[in-house]
Amino acid sequence: MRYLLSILFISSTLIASELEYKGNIGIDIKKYNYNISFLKQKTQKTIEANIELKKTYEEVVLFTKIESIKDIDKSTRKYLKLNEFYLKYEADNYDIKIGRDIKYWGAMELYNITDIYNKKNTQYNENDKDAKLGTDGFTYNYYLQNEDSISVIISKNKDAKNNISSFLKYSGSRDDIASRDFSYILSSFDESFLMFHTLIIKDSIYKVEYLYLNKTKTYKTAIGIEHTLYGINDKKDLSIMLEYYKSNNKNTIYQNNIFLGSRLTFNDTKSSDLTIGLIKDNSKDEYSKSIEFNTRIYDEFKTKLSYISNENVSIYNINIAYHF
Amino acid sequence: MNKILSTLTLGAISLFAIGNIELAKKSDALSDGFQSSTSNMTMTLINSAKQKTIRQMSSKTLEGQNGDMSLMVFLTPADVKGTKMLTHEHINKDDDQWMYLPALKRVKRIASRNKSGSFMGSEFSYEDTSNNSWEKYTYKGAVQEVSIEGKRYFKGTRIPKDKNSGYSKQITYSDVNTYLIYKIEYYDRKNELLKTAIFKKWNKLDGVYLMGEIVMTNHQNSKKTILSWTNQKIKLNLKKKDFSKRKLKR
Repeated sequence: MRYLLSILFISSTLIASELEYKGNIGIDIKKYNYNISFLKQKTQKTIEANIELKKTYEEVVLFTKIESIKDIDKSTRKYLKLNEFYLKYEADNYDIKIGRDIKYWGAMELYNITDIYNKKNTQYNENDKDAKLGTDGFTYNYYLQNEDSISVIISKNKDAKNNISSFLKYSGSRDDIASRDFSYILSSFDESFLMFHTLIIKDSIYKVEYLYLNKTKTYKTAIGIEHTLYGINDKKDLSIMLEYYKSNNKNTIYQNNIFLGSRLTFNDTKSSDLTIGLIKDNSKDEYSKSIEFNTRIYDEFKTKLSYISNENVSIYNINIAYHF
Repeated sequence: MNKILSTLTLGAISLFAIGNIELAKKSDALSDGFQSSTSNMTMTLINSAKQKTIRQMSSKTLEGQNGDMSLMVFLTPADVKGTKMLTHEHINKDDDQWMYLPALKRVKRIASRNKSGSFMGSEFSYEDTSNNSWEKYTYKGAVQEVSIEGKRYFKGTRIPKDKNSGYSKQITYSDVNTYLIYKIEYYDRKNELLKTAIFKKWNKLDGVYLMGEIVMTNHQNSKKTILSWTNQKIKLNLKKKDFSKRKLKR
């Protein structure tokens, strides 16, 4: 209850100010059916609340995001986390960001092997690749005449030497032979090199991600294609996704996997979509299946129904949240 | 007398002999020269049972000779607040388009070759919301003068040059005095009437005509969408860099 009151207090305070805000409060219910005999079936009910606050003073942006969860039944998980809190200054051809933030690095749909800046928030959901913990750091982006950017990033990392990781990133877009976006990153952490590209040819998006860790002489790579068919049955769009993941590190996730997915976007007023995925682990000859349906009720309530199943467990999930 | 008659006849011929291209250029010219603009947009989606859903956005546009650049920010519904769409239009090739998803901090490239996809679940397609420069069409037949509800309009037929257009042809109706577009009838790839757009509330701002409202009726599913603009401002000295990928993450 303390968590809910905190969020409600923050919400009412900001309404009186000129802050931009956005948030949600909802309930998440997961039912786990294990196929392993010594693990019992369990149901997890959780209250979740998040709020984002943003204040812009001409070239300066102050941003914060607070996230909280609390399990209702067994109280195994509860936290109130300042997951993002940064100050950004934007000049004509550069910007500087100081504080805790989340970055997205990658191009693939299923899993981003180059998305290493933030650690995953496994306490929230170990199956959600987008659940990440904010990282404390400093980012300097310099923009060239053609809008390509050179970034220098220094961040706190407990697993790195001297608790510091540094990154040098070059990103850009081109529109010559085909429309494409690219990023190349060098990192001091495990002496790594990363890159991710997207390329558009007609109605298809081609993607590649690559990560090489010089310290351990291991690599991870992924290639993929996403093709969209428009105007299926009135206004619906159907995207077909095919991705392949490969690594020489046998302890990594998606060491030799194929992902086949499809997303039906209804293009209705409820922004409904249905995603179906199948992952084959070629090393073990095992399959994982997933199905997810998202829709909106009364404009303010976003609803998600999902089902994930693999050799060990089946997870049924209902999530409904009020957005403001 | 013969000279006077022949002058009058020639005058009448030239009045009625306005060509499709000339008409399209004149209509286009009325909305050209805004340089850059900002506005708030409200989209009212009305289903066949007359139930309404309202969406709000803010937008800014930079006028360009080879296509406009635009940045649209979704303000409602709350779960998509802050989602941004950046479009770099091109006259002779596919547009560049990126979507920023704030929940993921992700900028995603969109394959924008297909123009017939629905814009935010509305009866507008992406093609309808983009710049309709006269150069994007070929023109067919002669311009006719027709009367609708006691008002005179020039009726012309245009065919999209883009092979990925959702339309086989469009029939335009422009005011005979002002050349402002009043109505467009859109025909689908099967050459059947799909939609009709009525253009209302034209505003003249600093010598440039801006649309105030479009009512789009889909005849095949009986749904309707009203797109209206408020707080329109032009000639704001916006720059190309205000429409770069960098601005999506702000």
